[in-house]
Amino acid sequence: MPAFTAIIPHDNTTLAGFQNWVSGTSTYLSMSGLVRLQDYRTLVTTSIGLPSVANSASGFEIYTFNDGLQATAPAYIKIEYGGGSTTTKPAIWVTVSAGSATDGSGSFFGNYTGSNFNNQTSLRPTTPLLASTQTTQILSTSCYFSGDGTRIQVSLFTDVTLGTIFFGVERTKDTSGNDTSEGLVYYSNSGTAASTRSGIAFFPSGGMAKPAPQLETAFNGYFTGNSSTSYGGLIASSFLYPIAGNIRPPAHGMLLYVGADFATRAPVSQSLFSSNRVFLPLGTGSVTAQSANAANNNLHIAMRFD
Amino acid sequence: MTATTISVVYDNSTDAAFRSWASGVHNAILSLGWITASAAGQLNINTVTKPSASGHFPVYAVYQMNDALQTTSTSSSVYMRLEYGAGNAQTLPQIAFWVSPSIDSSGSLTGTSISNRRVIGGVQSPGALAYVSYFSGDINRVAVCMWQAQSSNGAGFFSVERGHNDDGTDNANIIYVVSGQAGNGTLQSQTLIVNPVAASPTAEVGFPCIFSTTLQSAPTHFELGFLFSAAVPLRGFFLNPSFCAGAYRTEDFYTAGNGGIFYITHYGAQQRWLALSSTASSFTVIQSSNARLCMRFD
Repeated sequence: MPAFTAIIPHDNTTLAGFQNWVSGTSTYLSMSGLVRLQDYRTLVTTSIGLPSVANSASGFEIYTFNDGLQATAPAYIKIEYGGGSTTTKPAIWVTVSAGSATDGSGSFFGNYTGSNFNNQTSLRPTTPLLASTQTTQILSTSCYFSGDGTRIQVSLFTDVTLGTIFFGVERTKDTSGNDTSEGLVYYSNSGTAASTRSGIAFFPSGGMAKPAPQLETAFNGYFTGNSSTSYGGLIASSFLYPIAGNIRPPAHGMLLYVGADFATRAPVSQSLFSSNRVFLPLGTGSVTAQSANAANNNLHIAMRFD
Repeated sequence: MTATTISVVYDNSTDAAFRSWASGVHNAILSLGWITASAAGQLNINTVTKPSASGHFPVYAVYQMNDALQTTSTSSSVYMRLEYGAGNAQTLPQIAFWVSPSIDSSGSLTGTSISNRRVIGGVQSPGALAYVSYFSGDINRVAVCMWQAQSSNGAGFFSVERGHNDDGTDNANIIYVVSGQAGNGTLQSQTLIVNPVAASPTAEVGFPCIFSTTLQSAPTHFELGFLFSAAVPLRGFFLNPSFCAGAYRTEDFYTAGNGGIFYITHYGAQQRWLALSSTASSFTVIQSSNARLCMRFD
């Protein structure tokens, strides 16, 4: 279960800077266990062009998981690299497809979800949800990657206020915490409540495509309205519980916590189905778990980090 | 397991009107399996006179659970005191609510407690109409929604139960209380640590639960499922969920006036729950405009 910390500058101001964070991200995604798919339009990260138009991507990569379920329940993760409302704001689009490869030009068939969706019928708005609000080159920015071939969790530009990009993908779980071939769980945020997305893309069932449930504009978990959960030396955190009609078993890739309860970037250990897992609190200055209707405006994300 | 309804007038204007609703609540709670505790000063609720002024509570009763934990261990006792009287005006019915693991000889609840919460009524104009109220419980739990169809400031809710182990059996160390008066946004949840008695965790506005906060105009229905989340106590960490109170989405169950029944599997057993109507559910369950309160109803 590798976990990596990388210093990758936040920089869309120059071609070299853009190529640097794109290729750095690509490298660490592969190191984290994902398999890069050879799609004929997949970019060569070292030759990708600088975004020339606002809210545009200059190229994409497609990755798959590398686990025992990939053969029968293939997962595809498309990542597009580009710029936000101005070309100097680093941005990505993430699309997750359950069971359907692309048409060779990077378009998915079947059931997919991801950062590009406002809801299940409004696909890929031009404006990327996962975009920095910062336009300048910021050299000292920590990026975190964690995965093992069955999941991926990423936090880019974590030191950049309203510049952090967080996303994760993993398989749905059964009540014992095991991966299932039912679907893929997706979650992402880039520092504002409006950018929060979580959802499930289901694999076809019985030869039939399965519709997607309503995409959530929140991270669904146990919320507290108080400024701290601390009591008797104990602190509460909540896993993300995907919703597809009813509440599904929790995802393993992130925790929700109250900002005051965890020190920023100090790894914490959390028992999960009798195994200790490590999570990295991303901090109050980076991504946020809040949504327009969350019970607490001080909720934050800790990403899986082992 | 008992679920019952009563229909009583929201009215303190006469002795008979006051006795009608107060004795209705009293008898309904006893019918669930709770018993009255020995305490000095408990008057006959069927003969007591109406409140004489705003804030006057002329009669009270102390109830206790009647389960094995209550009868075999004084350190795991649960007492609930209800005072019946008047709220902001003499004519406005109100219930004041206490919960504690201990009681003194005069009927006062001692130790860690929920103290004197005004959970029902007290601010809305009285009327001649009778409103349905819901009671659900057993010898070890109670959930009450009074006057749910009364306009928002008249309805109220309270529930008391023990904490639960992973298999749903009762835990002797925890009392979990949800209570509030509609309209004031004062629904509150509280974990009481009782065995041994310790300071309580900070009370929560509303209660922790998992909730869908997106697409408020759309139901959560997907295939055969819908969103239901029981309230979850906090004690530094999240404990096992409530048997008495939970949240649902307006779009999934809303039925004006009378609420709606649904069934869920909870702790491996089927339970019957009641989705309270928007009027009675206008508490702050969570800070989401489409969150509604539901109560166990069997």
